[in-house]
Amino acid sequence: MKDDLHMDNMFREKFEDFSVEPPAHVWNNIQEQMVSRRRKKRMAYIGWISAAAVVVFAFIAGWMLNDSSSRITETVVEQQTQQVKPTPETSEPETVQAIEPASSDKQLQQTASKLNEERAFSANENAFVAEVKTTREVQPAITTADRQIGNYELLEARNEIQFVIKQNGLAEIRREEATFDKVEILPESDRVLIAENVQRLNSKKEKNNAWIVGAHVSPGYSAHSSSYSNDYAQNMNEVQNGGVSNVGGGISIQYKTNKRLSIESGVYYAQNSQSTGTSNSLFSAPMYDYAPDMNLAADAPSYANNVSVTRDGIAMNSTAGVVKMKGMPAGAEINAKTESLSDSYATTMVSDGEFSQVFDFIEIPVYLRYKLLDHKFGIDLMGGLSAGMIVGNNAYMENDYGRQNIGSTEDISSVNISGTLGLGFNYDLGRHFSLAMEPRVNYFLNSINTNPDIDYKPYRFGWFTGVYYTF
Amino acid sequence: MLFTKSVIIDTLAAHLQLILEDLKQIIKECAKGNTRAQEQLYKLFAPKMYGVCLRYSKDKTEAEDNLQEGFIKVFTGIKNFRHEGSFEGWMRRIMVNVSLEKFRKQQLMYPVEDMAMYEGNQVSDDILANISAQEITGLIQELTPRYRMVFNLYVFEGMSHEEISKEMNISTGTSKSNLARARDVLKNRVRALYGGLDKNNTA
Repeated sequence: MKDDLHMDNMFREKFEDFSVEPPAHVWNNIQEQMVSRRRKKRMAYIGWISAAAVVVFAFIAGWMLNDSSSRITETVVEQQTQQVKPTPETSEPETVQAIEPASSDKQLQQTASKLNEERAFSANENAFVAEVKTTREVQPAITTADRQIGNYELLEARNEIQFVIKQNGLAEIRREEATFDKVEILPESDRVLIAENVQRLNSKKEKNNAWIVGAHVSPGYSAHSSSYSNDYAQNMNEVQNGGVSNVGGGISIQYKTNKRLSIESGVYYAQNSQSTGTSNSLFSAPMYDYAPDMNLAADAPSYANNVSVTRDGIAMNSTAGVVKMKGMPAGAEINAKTESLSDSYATTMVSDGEFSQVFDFIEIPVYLRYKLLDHKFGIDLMGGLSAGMIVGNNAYMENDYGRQNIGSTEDISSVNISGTLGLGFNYDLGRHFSLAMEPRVNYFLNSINTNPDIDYKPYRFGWFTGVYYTF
Repeated sequence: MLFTKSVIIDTLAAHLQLILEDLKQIIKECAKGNTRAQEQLYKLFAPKMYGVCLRYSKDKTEAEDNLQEGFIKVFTGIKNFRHEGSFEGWMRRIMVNVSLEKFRKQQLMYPVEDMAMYEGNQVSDDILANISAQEITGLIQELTPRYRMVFNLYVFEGMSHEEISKEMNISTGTSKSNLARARDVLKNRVRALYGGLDKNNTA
């Protein structure tokens, strides 16, 4: 027993500083396993983010649908506030009759009959002004992310000292073990080579500044938030005002200032538009001196709005501003005050099909990009401002006669500022190329219409898909 | 050589404090998932831990597997290390646990070993003194899995038979007899391999 204890002690002493250099492939395997573990973890993380994103987008979509459906019920009753000479030769181009939205059909009927009575005594009428509440706010929030720089250099320097000590220590053991080749030890030359390679690899990794160029295509959805003055809104038949899907794209250039932060600019083409469809309210309103075509009243989309017909053309209050038409769109009808003695009936343009306004922008952005995750799969947070120059301004009527360009919107300012917020997912394909998917929200900070009666701010959801090339 | 053993020891002592501080820093970085720090930690401890793994395995391949698995456990669990007690001890315990887990899983495959026959032979100190740790490792690797495990846990981890029986799911009696048997086998092997050398030296 005593001898056993003695032997145990001798064994323990011998193994006190016993160490053997493991073969190099062990570390490589460990690294690979750690990377795949991290990837798995990240995929789970991304799964959660995607789920959250779907919920958020569903919420926003729901909110938008809800918002536009509440507007459909806005009814229009004509009420003249301004005397307009019926003779087209003398009429002023800017006069557009004001009309009043009433809150319910019942009230509408009452108002109508009352108006009829009054008309017998006097041609002058009072203006009933209803409140128009169409304010909405979207606040783009730009998160400034913290910069985090790890100082590994000190660690590295210290480690070198340690390594020398370790090697000296090892030399002792190795001298003792020199006679045994049961465990292979790499020759010194190989060791030096490996160390050099590791060092070179590290120095390559440390190069943080870089130029990155990218090209994107962005299918998107555009809509708007708007509000109008009462006078303007009274002549605007705002019905089923929907967003429109479209495609944009462009090229970008980024400068990476450090491991996580980069500044970005570029040139993008984008389109903002909205369409206006079926106006149900038209046919329930008794004040139009117009017998609707029953075919038109069926399920097919149709459009009706008050217009002002002048010598210069037809003007119409629309969502984004006053649309100036060069002439009558094919397939549309104008219903003027044909049989009425008074001026209390609005001139209305009716057409089947859809009316839409489209604005084309060239945007020059300044974005900041922050890397939340920097691996083979990366996640960026990006945000910033863009100057959007209007390069296209068109209004269309789409009916049996095709998609006709009927004119353009007045008072649109040529340069506008918009804010952008986005989340970038990218995947490295190699040393230089990477694939990117970036959902972005773009919101105009100013009304793109300079008319003080109109506050029209378009916004866009774009799904930017493209490639990046890192130099 | 200018660098004598004492000079090396002095240098070691002088840098001990620095190393401990460094180690703390490296451990912190590892906990954050810093790959570079993980590599440093590996470089620092892998040789020693490989030594431990070799002792618990039948061959180099098994030892490498265990070392790899052990380090993965170290890296994923390092954020739970509380800087109380020795880090090396903590790591070593993880390596031993990897071997123990494997042993438990494969236990059913191992045949019941005979528990009799104490030979009670002794090996002289001279012989033992001349055998290196590496040679002893080779001999330990030749033991059956259960003998090897009991011997290692008892002699090198300083566990009692009670503890060993719990870790290995065996009775204390089995642990005791396995240890004795392991010693016998080792001694016989030492005598067979190095006995001749002993005779020459003493003659």
